[in-house]
Amino acid sequence: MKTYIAASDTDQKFYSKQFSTFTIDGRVYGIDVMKVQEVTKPLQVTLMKTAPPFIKGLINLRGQIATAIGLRELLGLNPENTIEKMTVVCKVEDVLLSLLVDNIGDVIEVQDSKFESTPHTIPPNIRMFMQGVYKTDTFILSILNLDAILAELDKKCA
Amino acid sequence: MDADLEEFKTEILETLERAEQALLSFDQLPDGQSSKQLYDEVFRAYHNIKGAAGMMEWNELQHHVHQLENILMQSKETASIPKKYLGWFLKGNDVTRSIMSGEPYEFNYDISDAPVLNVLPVEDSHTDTGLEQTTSVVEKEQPPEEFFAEVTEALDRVSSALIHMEADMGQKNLIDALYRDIHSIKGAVQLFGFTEASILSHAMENSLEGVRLQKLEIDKAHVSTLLLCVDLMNQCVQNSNNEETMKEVSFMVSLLVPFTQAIDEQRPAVDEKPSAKLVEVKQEEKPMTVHRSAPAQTTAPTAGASAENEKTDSTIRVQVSLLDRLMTLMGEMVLVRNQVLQYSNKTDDLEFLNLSQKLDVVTSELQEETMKTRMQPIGNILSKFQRVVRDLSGSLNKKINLNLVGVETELDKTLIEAVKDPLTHIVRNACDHGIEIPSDRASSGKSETGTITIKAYHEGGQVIVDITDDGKGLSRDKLLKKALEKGIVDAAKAERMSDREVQALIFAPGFSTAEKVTNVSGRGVGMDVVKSNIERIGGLVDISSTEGKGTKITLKIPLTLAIVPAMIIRSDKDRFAIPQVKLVELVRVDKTQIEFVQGRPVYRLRGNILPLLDMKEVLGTKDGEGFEEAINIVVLNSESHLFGMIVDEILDTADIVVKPLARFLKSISIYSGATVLGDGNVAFIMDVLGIAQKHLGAGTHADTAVTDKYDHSQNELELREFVLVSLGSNTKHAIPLSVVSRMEEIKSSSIELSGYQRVIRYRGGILKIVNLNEILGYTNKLIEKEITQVIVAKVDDQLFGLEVDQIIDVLSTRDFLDDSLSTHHAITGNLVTQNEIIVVVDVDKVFELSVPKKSARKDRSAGGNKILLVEDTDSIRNRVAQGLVENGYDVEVAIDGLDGLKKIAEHKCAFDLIISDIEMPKMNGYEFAKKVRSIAQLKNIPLIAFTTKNSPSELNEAKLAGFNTFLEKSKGKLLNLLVNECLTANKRKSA
Repeated sequence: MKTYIAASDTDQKFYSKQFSTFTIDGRVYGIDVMKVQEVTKPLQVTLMKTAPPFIKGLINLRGQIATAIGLRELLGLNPENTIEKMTVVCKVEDVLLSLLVDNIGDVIEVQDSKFESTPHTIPPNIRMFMQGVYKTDTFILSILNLDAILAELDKKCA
Repeated sequence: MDADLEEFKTEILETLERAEQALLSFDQLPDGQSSKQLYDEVFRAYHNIKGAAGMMEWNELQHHVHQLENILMQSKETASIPKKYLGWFLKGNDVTRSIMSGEPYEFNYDISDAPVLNVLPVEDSHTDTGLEQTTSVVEKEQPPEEFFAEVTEALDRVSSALIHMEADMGQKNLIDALYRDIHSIKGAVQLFGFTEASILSHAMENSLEGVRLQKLEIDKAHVSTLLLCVDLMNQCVQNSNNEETMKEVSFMVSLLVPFTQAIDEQRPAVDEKPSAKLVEVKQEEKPMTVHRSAPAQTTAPTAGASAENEKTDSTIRVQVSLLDRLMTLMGEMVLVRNQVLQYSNKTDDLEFLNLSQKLDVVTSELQEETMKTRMQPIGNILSKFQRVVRDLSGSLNKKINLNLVGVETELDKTLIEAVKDPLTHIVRNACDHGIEIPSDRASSGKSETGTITIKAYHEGGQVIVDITDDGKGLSRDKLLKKALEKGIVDAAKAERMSDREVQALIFAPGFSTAEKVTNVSGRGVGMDVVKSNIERIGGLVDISSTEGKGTKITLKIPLTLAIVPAMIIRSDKDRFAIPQVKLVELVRVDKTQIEFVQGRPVYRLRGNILPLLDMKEVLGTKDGEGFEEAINIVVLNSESHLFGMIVDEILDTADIVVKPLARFLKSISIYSGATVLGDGNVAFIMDVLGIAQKHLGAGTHADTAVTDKYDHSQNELELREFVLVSLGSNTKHAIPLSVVSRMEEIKSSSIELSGYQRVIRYRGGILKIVNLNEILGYTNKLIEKEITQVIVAKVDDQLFGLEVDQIIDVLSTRDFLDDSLSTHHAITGNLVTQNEIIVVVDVDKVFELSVPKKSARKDRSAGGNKILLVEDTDSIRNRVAQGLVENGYDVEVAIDGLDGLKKIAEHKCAFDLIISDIEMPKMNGYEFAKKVRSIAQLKNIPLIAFTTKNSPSELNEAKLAGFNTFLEKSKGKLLNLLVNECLTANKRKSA
């Protein structure tokens, strides 16, 4: 696993954010670290029959029940080479989501000044879940918007 | 009263604490700094205490706090307290505590020897008293939640007291309570600046003054006016400062004037304001030292104070959210407990087994207690119906009495709220449609006053609420006519419907039988809403009525929503939970018995068509056609329609903790939640209602109504149904299906002892287990089984378990029941079928017999039973002996056969039972048993062989030697059970 370290300037600390990073299908995504409850190996999933394909089922997270979400399916990414090795557990509006991802990266700190809105060329089915991008020295980090994901889940399942 | 005083003191101390905090905060500020917020806090606290003390007629306390308040008033303008006076106030607080606890104190009320604050003259401040003072000082602020709760509660008490008083005028204690409540309402609403409400409560209080002093009798008109005031008060508190309400208040106050004036005429000398006397006291104000007043003066509060002293903090208020959190954590703990228990089954580590058992017991208790924290007596809402019934009987010109039974029955807070509306509806219906007008009642030979009884009680882990009226009942003809008009049933079907089915029609949507629509009920919405509301919280509604006699509506409500008993089933590889309340029965049938109607599978369940649904179809996992050879059907009940769901396997029952699904999953309507199973995996909870709606179509009336199930008339040659069982007799025995509630297979190890009664935990309650062999006097094969088959029967609304050797089958028969030959009083007679004779058990009698037996057992306490344990291995001997002692037996131990005989001689044969090992040095078990049997007094003593041997020949030898029965050492846990059985059987024999 490659370690991503952002060039962080201590003077700028107040104007920076931390993101938990992970990859799906080779693409790097980030989620606001404050929204991430924990990162785990995939737990035993109870499949949910009759549910849409991006709902992978339920998992038991030490007595709490989280809904496993297939980000790959939700974002419409390449369904082949699925190597979902990890899950990122987030809490949004009291809903516990367990996002299935391929690999986990580091928590990185980026300055607000490095933020840019999502490029227009990105297809709308992915752009709708994105808050924007942060430019680091080595790569560009796509930030996922959990609220948008939850809103879409509400909409798609209704 | 004691409780009141205690609560009062707790509250005062809390309030005082607030004042203290605020005073201390003043100390943090620069001297002379003003803080309106802190000042008001102190002022409010003192004022509250003064009011409360006055209410409790605790003059000493009231006077003291009044002085504090007066001094504080002087710095009202600046809203500050100079530091040098802070000490005086703090000391004043200490004195308040001393008064409360009845300790002696000294206090100089003169603060003026220090230069007084920037002054308002003292007299100015207390020419105004109570009411005006507060409203002017305290700005209106947003009152806390508790305020509304308290006022509402107090208003409820007021209206119920009024209604009681109306029934029985002149109950002094009621009037006092009433007066006190109104007074405290007054205090509360004043504090938060509800002007209208305070004027109103003041008027109410005044109008009651005469009654309280027993100068006047309260009359009906007065009560009615006061009740209207209560309503208006509610309105005032909900939305204040409304001109409309102000007008209404003035009007209402004018209505109260006659009652108040009546007093004044009789007693012109009455002080206009209750607090006027205080003014006099104040005028004498001068430096003085108060010693503890003579006991005669202080009366009840201080007298009680010393005794109640330690109790003052025995209640605390807790946030509901905290309780919710506790409940959640409790749920987690139950899950962990289940996992531990499951793991403990796999291990032989006795220490661990022991610990896990303890964990089990403690967790169960903890669970119960935690649940209790959220429990509230159902009386909280039932008492409101006094008012409802009173008002309705007035407006309907009927005479109705409401009878409340079991108001102390407790129920989860959220459920109490949920049943309130349905109950109101049912009660209103009973008043409107049920009870007849007095003339009709008289002409049909009933007393003019109708009675509605609401009875609440616990049963089988549920709360049952019966609403019974002695009115005109439901008329089959009228109901059917209506149903035909509304097109709910067709004529052909109407013919065939049983009475219960017809009665259940009132739950059909859009059904109303009232001949005219009144403003009370009869708009065609109602009972169906009642039904769906109750079912939504997992409850059930049932109705039974006799025309001319009355109607009884039964609500069955679960105790709590968080933990529910459920059946775990399997479909393919997944497990699912189905709530027990939705489950009617389990049926296992052969593939060939499934028939098809228009391509849909059905099964004839006791003659009625049961529509079937394949669980795999529901889940969308069905591949291919056809079924397994043997089919498991869970019969489910959805809105009084039965349907069968075909599942792969029926696994187990379990208490599950319901976890809600993420909200976006709710639309997938076949699941109502999820739960974590004992092994840590997640299972979905099936939403029976949702499945029915999705797959059976909402509102379609399936042909099989639930009520039909047991509704078979008892004519001799009618089809009757029995459960066939085998017992310790060669003949098959039959138990009428009508009394059978369920059939269960339980683990023998889950049978516990409650005293001498064998019981199991069953759906949140305790189920008594009665061995049918014992009752009927058959030989009881004491071979221990892992699984015990139990028929859960219901007699007199009570469940009890009948333990049988084996459940064979269900028999539907029209054969003749011959009751001429009954060999036992718990036997009804014989069924003569083509092939055999079957003995029919009289379950009512069995129930009766099992009751006296219980009391008979009681007189022989466990301590009275002395057991001799002969065993050569130290560790086993100690463990077994300890187990027996823990179960209350007296145990004597011997290390081998010879020692055993020695012990017998020493104790002069005074043993009730002997347990012996077989392989022992010096004298083995066989020889020992033979010797024992040769002693005359011990000829019939139960002898249990506790052994590792289990080959038939060895067992036979044991029998020959004189052992009654044996138990393998590996099953040591069952020993207590066996001992108990032997002792009981022996006792029966000798009796």
